Amino acid sequence: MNIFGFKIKHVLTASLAVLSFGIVTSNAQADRLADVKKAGILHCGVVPGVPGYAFPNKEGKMVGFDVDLCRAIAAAVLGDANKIRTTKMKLPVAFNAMKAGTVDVVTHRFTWTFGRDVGQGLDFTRVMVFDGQGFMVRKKLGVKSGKELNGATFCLTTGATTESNVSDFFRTHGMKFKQVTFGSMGEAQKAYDQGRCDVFVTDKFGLGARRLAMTNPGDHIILPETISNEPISPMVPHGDQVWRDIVVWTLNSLITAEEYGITSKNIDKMRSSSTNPFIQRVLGKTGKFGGKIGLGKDWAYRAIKAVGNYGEIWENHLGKHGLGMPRGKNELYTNGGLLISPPFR
Amino acid sequence: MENLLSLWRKGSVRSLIYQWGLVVAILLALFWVFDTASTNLDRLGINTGFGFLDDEAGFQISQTLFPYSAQSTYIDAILVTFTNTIVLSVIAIFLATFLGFFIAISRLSDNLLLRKIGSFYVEMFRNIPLLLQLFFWYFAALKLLPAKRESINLFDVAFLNIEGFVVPAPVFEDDANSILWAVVISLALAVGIWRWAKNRQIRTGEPFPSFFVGLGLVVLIPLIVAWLQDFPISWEIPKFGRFNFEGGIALQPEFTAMLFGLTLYNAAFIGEIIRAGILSVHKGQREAANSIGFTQMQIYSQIVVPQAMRLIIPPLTNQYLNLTKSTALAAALGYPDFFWALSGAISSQTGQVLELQAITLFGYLGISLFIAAIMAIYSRATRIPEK
Repeated sequence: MNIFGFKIKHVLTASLAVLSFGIVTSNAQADRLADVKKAGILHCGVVPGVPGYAFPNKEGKMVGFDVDLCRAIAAAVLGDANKIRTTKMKLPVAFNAMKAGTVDVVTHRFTWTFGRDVGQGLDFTRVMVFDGQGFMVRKKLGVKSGKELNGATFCLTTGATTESNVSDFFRTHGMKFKQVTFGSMGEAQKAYDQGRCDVFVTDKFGLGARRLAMTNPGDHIILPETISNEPISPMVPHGDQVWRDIVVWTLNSLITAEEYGITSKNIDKMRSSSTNPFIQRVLGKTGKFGGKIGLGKDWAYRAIKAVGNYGEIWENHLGKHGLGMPRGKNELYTNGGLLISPPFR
Repeated sequence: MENLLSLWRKGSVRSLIYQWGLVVAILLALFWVFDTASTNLDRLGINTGFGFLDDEAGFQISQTLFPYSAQSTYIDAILVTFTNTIVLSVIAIFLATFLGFFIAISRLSDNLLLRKIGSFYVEMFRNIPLLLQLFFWYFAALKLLPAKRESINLFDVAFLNIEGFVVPAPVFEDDANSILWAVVISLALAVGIWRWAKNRQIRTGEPFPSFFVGLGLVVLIPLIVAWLQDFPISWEIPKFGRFNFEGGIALQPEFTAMLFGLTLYNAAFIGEIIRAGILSVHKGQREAANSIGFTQMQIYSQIVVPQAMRLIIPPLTNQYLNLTKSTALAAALGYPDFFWALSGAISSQTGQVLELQAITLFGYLGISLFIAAIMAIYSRATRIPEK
């Protein structure tokens, strides 16, 4: 049947896709690896506009920590780190887009929680950043600890874990608070900056970046408390184990590379001359890992070569050459941090 | 075969077949949608159903008209924010209509300055996107309002600062119920007087100041009842704590900015609707009324407006529906409306997107149909009787 020259099925499909974010129309994605290879492009979900994570550079190209994770996966799967398309994500639309299968992987900093992992049609992969939420206040309030904030007003954003964390923290300590919840971080930050709220709250690594954006960064301090545990992990659609393995082990390879001193600069030398059997396996000189995962034998080599190891990515965007944040818990376990990769064995 | 063909040639039979064919096609399409959706939900392992509504919400809401805390359920959160949407819509509708009427009058006035101001207003406000205006009012308000510790003090009972306008909250004692009853009874009395006066005027032509008498009753009777009981209402005066004012009721800048933005924007459209309605009344009507000694006020209230109403009501209903639905923009400004709760916290915490979409859909549909019904009743009541 036709309506104004459109097949009625298409008209219906289009309108319903708009209605329900594609849930009703997406077809079963049995083999995402094949689909990505066929399309020749990797669709990544990121939230642009956060310096250090995903932010346009001078040439207008999106760069940052989140983008580099996406580039690493594209390099491993497609052999070219530039074959990515970043899709703008916004909570909670990100979850719907995942369910509908319109993006292959979300590398934005989403906290791995039970509620998100179970029964929502998506899977978390591995923790890439260990973060926790903290408070920023004005210095002149003279507040030294989060426990002194009884009765204060909070500016925060909706859709994140923030709301329930703050509420839990205050319930635990038997205190009261007020909150103004905004649709996006930009407005929440602006309202705090203008004095609407006493406290601004978000992930601590985010707070550092946000403080720099205040009218007078020096007027604000970040309180010592970390009120929550926020393990940040990329997400993939639920149900395709092969695809999940690819993402997990590509991310693992970045951490392993740092542990074994493989960098984007010395990687070729390492591959040709290293006698360490472990390094030889990771870089595909020996072993059949690449074939088992459905990619060429040098998939991990390509990923590390394109974006560098975890430490390099960190320093480029969040550390020395970026926001200047200390790595804290995000050091390797060998340096007293929490970062560890299962072995390539 | 010949019979069937002749049946087909009959227009009424053919149109019946087309109509039923369409119904069946739509039903099939709906079934297809439902089937695909449920298969996909199943395949992705997504929870379905409305059971989650009884779970604890775990987030606070900055403006609540009845008791709510983070320990309340999702359904409570939805009801609280639904009320917030209704309150914002209703107040904005009244203010926008009031302002719109004045804009219409000024655009029709003989005074050049008033006319120009009116058209400037309309062109200005209806041509800038609403969301932009809302952000403007909100951040302008935050800029202008004094900081928390520098609040403007009004007689030590009310305070104005960036938190909003904080006023004393009434605390009702046990026998305060009688005052509520007095209000209800006096309202009923006022309506009764208004109807009696109207009937009498139709019968005898004698006017009666029913508005002022009614207003007097509604104010005086509850006051007398309160006085008889030694005023069983006390006031909770806001006091500045460590960070904020504690106690009292705060009119928050998020609400005020929303109300301001919605009123000013919609008043521009409503003004034009009313102007068109008034212009549709033939000028002979006005001249006739003038010639038999009606005052300007009477010409408008007795002759022009009742006739203009017929034309004003349908587009005005549209505008009211638009206004109500655009309250959903509140989510951006941090005013906790219906859409704010459903699309934000609840959606990301539970992930029950389809169910929440359905609730949102029926929520707004409910409000819209209610407004449309009220306008239809009003329009029927004010219709000029025809033979």
